[in-house]
Amino acid sequence: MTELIRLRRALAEAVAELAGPRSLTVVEVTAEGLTAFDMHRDETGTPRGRGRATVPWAEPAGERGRDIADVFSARRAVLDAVGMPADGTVVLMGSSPGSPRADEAMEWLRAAHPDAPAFTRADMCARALLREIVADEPLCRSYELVVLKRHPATDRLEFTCRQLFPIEARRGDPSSAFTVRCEPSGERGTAFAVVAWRDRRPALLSVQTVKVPPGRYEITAELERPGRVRFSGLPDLVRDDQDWAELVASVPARFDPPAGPAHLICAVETTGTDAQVRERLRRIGQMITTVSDGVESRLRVSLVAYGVHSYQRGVPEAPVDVAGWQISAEQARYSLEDLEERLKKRGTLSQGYAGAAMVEDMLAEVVSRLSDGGGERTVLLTVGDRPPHPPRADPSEILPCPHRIDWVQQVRRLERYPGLAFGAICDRPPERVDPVWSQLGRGGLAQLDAVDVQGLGAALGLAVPRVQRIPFPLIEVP
Amino acid sequence: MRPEVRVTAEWALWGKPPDARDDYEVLECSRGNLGRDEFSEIMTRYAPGTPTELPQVTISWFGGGDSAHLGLAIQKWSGQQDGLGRDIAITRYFCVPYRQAADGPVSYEALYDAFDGRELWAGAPLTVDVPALDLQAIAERVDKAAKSAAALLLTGEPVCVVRGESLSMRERLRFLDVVAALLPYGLRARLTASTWTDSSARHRIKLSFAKRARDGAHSVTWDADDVVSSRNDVTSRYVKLLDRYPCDELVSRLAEKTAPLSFKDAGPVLALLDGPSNSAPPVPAGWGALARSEVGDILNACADRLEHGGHGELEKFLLRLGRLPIPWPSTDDEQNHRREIIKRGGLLSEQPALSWDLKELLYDVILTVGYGPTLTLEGVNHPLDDAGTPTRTLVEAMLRMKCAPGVALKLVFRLDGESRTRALRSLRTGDLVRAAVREPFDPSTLSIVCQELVTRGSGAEDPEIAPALREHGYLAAAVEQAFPHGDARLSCLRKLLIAAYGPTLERGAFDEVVGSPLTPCSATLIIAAVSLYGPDAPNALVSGLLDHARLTAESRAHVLDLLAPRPDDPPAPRGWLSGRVLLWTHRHEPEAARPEQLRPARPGHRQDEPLWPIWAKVGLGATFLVAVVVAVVIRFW
Amino acid sequence: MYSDPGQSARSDHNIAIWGAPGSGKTTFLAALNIALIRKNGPWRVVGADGPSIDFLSEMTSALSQHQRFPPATGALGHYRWFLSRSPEQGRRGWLRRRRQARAWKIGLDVLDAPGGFFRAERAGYGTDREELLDNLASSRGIVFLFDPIRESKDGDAFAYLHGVLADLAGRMLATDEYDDGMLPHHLAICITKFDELRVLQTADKLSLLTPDPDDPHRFPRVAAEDAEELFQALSTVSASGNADMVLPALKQFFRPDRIKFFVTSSIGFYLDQRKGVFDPDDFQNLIPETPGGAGGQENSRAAPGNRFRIRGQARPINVMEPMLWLGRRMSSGKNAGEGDG
Repeated sequence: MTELIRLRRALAEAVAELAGPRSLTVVEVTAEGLTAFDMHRDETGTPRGRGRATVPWAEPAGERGRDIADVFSARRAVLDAVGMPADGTVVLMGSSPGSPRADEAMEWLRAAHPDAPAFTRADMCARALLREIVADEPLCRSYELVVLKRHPATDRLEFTCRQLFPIEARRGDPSSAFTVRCEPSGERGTAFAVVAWRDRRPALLSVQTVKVPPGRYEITAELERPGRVRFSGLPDLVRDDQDWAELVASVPARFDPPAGPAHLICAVETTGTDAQVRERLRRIGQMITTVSDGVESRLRVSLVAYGVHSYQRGVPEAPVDVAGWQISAEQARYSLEDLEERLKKRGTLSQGYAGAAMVEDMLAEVVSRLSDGGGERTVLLTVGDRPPHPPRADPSEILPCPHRIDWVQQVRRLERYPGLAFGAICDRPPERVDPVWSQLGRGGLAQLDAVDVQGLGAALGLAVPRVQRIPFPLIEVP
Repeated sequence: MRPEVRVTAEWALWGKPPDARDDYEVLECSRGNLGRDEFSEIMTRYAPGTPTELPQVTISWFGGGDSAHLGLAIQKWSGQQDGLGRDIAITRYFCVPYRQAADGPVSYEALYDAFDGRELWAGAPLTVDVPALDLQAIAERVDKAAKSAAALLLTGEPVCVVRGESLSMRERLRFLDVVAALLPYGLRARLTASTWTDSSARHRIKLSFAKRARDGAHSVTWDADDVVSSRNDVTSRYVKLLDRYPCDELVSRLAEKTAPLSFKDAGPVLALLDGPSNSAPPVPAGWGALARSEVGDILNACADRLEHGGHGELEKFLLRLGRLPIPWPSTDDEQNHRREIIKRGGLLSEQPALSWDLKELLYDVILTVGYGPTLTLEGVNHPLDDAGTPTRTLVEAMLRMKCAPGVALKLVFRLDGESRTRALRSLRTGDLVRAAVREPFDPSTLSIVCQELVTRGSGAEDPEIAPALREHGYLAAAVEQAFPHGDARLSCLRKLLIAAYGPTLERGAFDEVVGSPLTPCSATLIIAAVSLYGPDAPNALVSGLLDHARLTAESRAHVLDLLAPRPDDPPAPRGWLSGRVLLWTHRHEPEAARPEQLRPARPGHRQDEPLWPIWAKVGLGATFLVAVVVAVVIRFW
Repeated sequence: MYSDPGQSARSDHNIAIWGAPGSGKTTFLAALNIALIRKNGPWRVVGADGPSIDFLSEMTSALSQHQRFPPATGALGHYRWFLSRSPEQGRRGWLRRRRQARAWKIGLDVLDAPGGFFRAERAGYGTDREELLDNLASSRGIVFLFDPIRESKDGDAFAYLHGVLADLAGRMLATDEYDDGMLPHHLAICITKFDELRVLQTADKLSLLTPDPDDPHRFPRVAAEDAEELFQALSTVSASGNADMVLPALKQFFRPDRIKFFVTSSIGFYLDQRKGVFDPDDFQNLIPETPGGAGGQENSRAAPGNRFRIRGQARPINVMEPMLWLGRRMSSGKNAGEGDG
């Protein structure tokens, strides 16, 4: 039996023995340094390993040679790198016999861990070996897919599981095939969540999501290795780290079927940090999603972006950007993404005038575009932070608008437009906003970090349809 | 790792709160000898001017005599603006007692590294460990500009280093360190220096980088090709003195001069370097200026930490002592003084509370400092005596030291079990064999030694085994004593011989064994040799014995004649006995005088005719064996 | 290579700048060169030593090219300049030119201290205060900057005046050298930040604004004789209410014939190049910038970026005038025959 086989066997046994707080530390000693790998079994029963940073051998001492203190420090470094696992097994593997540093380190480690099996002629790197051993492990929990079941009479949705792989299944075992139905899902798509069962308690193993049109899907699950299940029969699934409790909570109690025409004008300020701008765009996206109702929605959306005036010689200013006017909610979402992409390319708008933004120009643009229309519900939702520029030198010390536009006049014109409501989402809390924002948000003013999108939509008189997003696949009940 | 010194710094934070409309002030400071007003005065006094590029470091001083301090101010942008929209520069100022800094001595860069980024807790002065001056690194950085600056500083006038704009702050700080290192360390008690000054400001910085030299200041160009010459006598004299020494010797000499000096009087400074080149004892590499008396202080500190459980500090002290260069020149008095501290402080006694590696370090260091560097036969008992009850770990540590011959052997027997085996394994073959015959005799040692010899003989050939065994009668006496049964003795001796000579004895080796001074216990040895030689053993044996007997030709012929086969007349034991007596008193003849080889070089390959026919050999052999056994028995009884 | 410490020629016309932190002392000095260049008159300022030349060129480019303000002063700065007047054309008599060249050059040693040095409570800091007083005592001209904006917010102009003033008077008047019991300095009291809306509005309300017919840009001005009235009006808008004591305190120690008021702005009003004339609806020349923009990051090697920037070009108002006034008054006792600016 070669050293490698013995090592593999010892490691496989040690991995198999992992349970609860018990851990395994595999120490790989090479000519370059020492790497410790910590293995434990997570709550899903999957062995997990993490390689600590390689501790390189101390620089060879110069002509002086190593003194007592050098040897002490070197040994301390080696022993500290491994530590003294309280409840764990240590396996020592030296991959570079003949390297004096490595041999010396092995010697010290053996002395410090007399019970640890030591292998000196391991010709394989520990990382690869451990990965192989873990991949070959049989499952110690059964793996099941989280699905929803619709009660035929009450339409209530209930959670249930469908087994994918039993205990003792290994990679390469026959795959599991089944049929599910996907309904319109949330922003992220339908979630394929796998749980590991043990003693009647499930532990979440993985969540992968995919955006697919509603319909029936034939799916095959394949065990790649403990802890990883691959689904085929669907477009590429992506790993999703969203909060599980949130995901579960997003399942509606029942599954029901699908509101009048409206025009939502979203005006967004594009100054500030990337994060601020992104957050504003995200809120607009949420608002559009919330108040639109699928394909049959009668909501029209307009998207207007505005920045700052330039008061600097040679620095041109970006005019008000109408990214979409009277478009569908779906198109608006694309326009929003497109806008975000453009802003990202342009970089942070941290330069330029700091104290105000061209709100007055945006208002003038909206006024000019709204001139012919009317009748339907129209909402101007302004999302931003800064006040507008005054038309002339002002005690606020904000520089006057270069085009001398008077924002007060523009607001008055909009007020005369039939059916128009003012809504605003401001970066600051309501008690700290500039008085201008109180006017821009007289129909509903929210703070960026804490928007009740539905509530705001409702306050602005937009019909909010009942949410019917089914984030999990449905299993057909015979 | 270089030795470290511990310094305690009082500190202050100089800046202004964001959106403040007032000037800079002390925002926070430690509670020590200095208060806000004092810090404010220092900060204003040593302000390098209006900042343009940060970070920058400014070195300053205050106080004299025992209260002399070194100050280090690190100025950085805070990332915030004041109420007028101007960027706020925060200065973290630290001052350490000059004496503590001179103890290392420490460099400005090391102080900077020790303080930069340290979290400051309201009220508490900051205690940090600072590595001592790396003389080698400093010496390597000495250049002409640094020499110029150092010499010009002695005029008492400020020096500005120009054209250093492209350097990083650290490079400038290093340059300041090099210039300071080209002056006696004691001048740092009065040196002000900065990595940058504003020449339009009225500052008090003696040495600094600047865009231009200010009025009344000397200008030194960074990276200059020439050492500046000055009409000032002091400068030119100092430049000459600097050139007199090699850089490393220069900086190490100057680093030793830690007594505070002043720029006002260059005389004492010049005098320091104006002595004969090799008058000062060389500063041991890496030892900084640690005085010998401080070894005692550190030993005391170690004892104190052992007693009160400060293991982290104990480790630092030990590492510092561990850097003691070997051989460390020390007098008997010094050595005795240290032993006294070691004994009193129980530094070698059992230390159950220490981790095993720290314990090893403790013993290794204390043994070297107190009893090293070589453990002599006379001195071996000192640590054992001073330890009270020596522990196994201590003995093992002693074995790790450089030992005079015989010392290791003496120590091995203070160990038992596995550790003794391990220690024996590390012994030289000669010492190992000597260990087996050591009085009082210990059968278990013999078996360990035999095992070890067998191991050494079986692998790579160990040429030392045969001579070592021969010197001690092939351990025959010891084997005799250890094994009551002849068979066991034979087996043991055979193994030893195999270890020494290989699985079959050549004639030369056979003669060596048989010819060794016989003892009353040699019977089994001879049997063992015979058994390894082969069928011709009796012949060889007699022939060997006759050779060693140094008989005249007639006597030899007569003996052979007596041994000639006569079926009715078995050989008399008496004759054999007398032969033995002869053998016991014989001396080896010189190699050249020996008769021709009777045995071929390779076993089993015969060249000459047999002396006697087979039947005679068998008879003679049996008779001989009986005779020897009888002789042994008689002897014993 | 020989090294000897450099020494440059010294002037006996020391001018000190006095003002609270942030009142714009350094900016005032920085704007001097630009003011002289823009005036396109016979006067120019020349540095007398390396660091002073550096200051002039760095500050001129900071204000004009980079449109940035100088950082807070960290230590007592000392600049040696000459205000020199080029000989007038047409009078090329050999003798006359020589005589003029000597007479029309005013040496200025300007001291710029961090504003905090003037604070009354700062008496405990010892060294810097002593040095400041030494310098004030050896000066004969003082530019006293009164920042009405700071006064309305902090109201501490008096606090930055009376302590140092009392010390200075105590030191200089203790001897019998000045028998009238008044300090010998010429004092230019400059009301700063005229470009700010509130200052301009106050002047407007008091009807103190007079157009300058020679100014193609029609910038508003306050005539020298009206400046004191504006000063008094602005003193009433003080956060502490102590500003009305500033002028009496100054008049107690300085001879009235040696005090002159100026309404100044180091950066001046914004001018839209396309229009070319002052626009009363849009004249602010100070512009805030987003924090964390160009500079100001910790450990940045880059020059600090201030939160305020100059919007257009710096067009200093009454920056050159106080200096010329002081220079001329101070040298009038020594040099006869100097001309007007």
